[in-house]
Amino acid sequence: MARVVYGYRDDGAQTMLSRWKPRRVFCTSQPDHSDEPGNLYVVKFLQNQAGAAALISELICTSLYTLAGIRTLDSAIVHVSQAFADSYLTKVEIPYQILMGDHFGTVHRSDVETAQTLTYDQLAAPSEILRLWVFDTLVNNVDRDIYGNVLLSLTGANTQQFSVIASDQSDCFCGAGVFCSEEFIRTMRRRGQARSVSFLPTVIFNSGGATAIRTEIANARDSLEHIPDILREVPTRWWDISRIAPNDIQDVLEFRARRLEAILNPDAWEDIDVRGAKLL
Amino acid sequence: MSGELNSCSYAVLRYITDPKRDLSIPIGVALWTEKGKWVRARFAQPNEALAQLTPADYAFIHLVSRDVESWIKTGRLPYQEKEMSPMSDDWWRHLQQVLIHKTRLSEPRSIECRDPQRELDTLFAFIVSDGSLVAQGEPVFMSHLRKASTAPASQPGVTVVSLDTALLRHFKAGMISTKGLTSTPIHQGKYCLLCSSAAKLSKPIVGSFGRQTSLPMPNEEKLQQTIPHVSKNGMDQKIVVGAGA
Repeated sequence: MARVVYGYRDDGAQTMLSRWKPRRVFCTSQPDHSDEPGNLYVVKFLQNQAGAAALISELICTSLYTLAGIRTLDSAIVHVSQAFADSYLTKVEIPYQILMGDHFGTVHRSDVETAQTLTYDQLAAPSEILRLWVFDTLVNNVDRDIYGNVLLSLTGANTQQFSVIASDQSDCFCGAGVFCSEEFIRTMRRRGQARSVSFLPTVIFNSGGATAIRTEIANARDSLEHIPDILREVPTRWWDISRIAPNDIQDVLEFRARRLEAILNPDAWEDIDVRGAKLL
Repeated sequence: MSGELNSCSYAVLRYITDPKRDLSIPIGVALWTEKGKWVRARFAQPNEALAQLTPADYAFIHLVSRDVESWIKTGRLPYQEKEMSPMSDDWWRHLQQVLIHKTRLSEPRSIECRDPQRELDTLFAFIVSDGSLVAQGEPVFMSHLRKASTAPASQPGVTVVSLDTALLRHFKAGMISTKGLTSTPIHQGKYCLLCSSAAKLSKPIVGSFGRQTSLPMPNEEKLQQTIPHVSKNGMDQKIVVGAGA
């Protein structure tokens, strides 16, 4: 079951640069906020049709990735009461209306950073990148390479190496705009590999080449057994506003899972030695 | 672009230590001038061992410093839509919106400076290091010290070092003292620092600089005194704080 928390106190904008302009909000586990101030969340509020699609994308893919062993931010459905929504009415600096009801939040982490110039050597477990690439390809995530969509946490107090956290899944299913459009199914069937880091080939080499890709493809296929349960977690209102049919998601994911081998083409790595030398 | 004073801007990079209480410590400074076509950022390095920072913190700082240097070089920032130069305030305002995790950036602030590189070093020293960099690596203020022409006849073997304009300005503002090095604080006015040998000059003197509260102006003659007992970092030195140079 998706966790539900209750919006209690706004803590300002997380960023005004990204499309959905998420905000930091203290959320409690009790509707009466008896456990105030609760925990700090970064909340994406339900906005328009594409916004609802973005929240569905977040909820489904963050749940799927977590179940598949990919590091993600702890997520929750954030319930906003009428009184809390009303308190936003006078906040003219927020460029959208915050409505009573369910929104999507992830726990704000103060021990992470992001980086555009990340290198292979900085990763404690580079194979995390490979798994993320395979799953991003399965769900057609279109913007993993955008700054901030991967976060990094140190693996220990005395290390200089980082673990990868998949931190934004709002643009899976070909992006929120396509996801809630009539182009959705056709585009999902047509699109190829997801984008990743520039050193992905090194990651694949050192993770084991074709065998490593096939292992992750199998993981991705197995993970689809969770989809029916995950779809049931999505608030009804999100489906209504986005006009997305849950069955379509199930169908296109199964289609892409069957085609993953063709899309990711592990055969191309078959004749390449895992140490990076090409066999004659 | 040394010589005349130019309008520049700077911003402070801070490392969040407690996000809930909005607590942070300064870990870097950027300085730029559109007119002088100059931009640079300086971050704390692991060998500078700032108080409160652990090796893990430096790993995070390194991530950001490398990104910032790369962005300055290319001129392109994440989420940038319009053309902006890294030598413009707009560019740094945008970067302020980009850095939202452990390292944050202040708004652009105004400053007038003659030599941007020197000013950057000075800003870094006062905002970030606060004189605490003495124990590690290169002395911070050596670029602001220069040898005076002659040593006082009464102090044979003593090297005279005078302060250049940038550092003198901070002296005049009452921001530097010899606290921790001598029992006699430096007060407002024009001073030189003297020590027993040039080789031993840098660390103890550099390490002595720090912020000071305002003190009453002493008699200038009283400042012409030798403080023979200075011992810092295991080195005994003869330090004279005096007017002149």
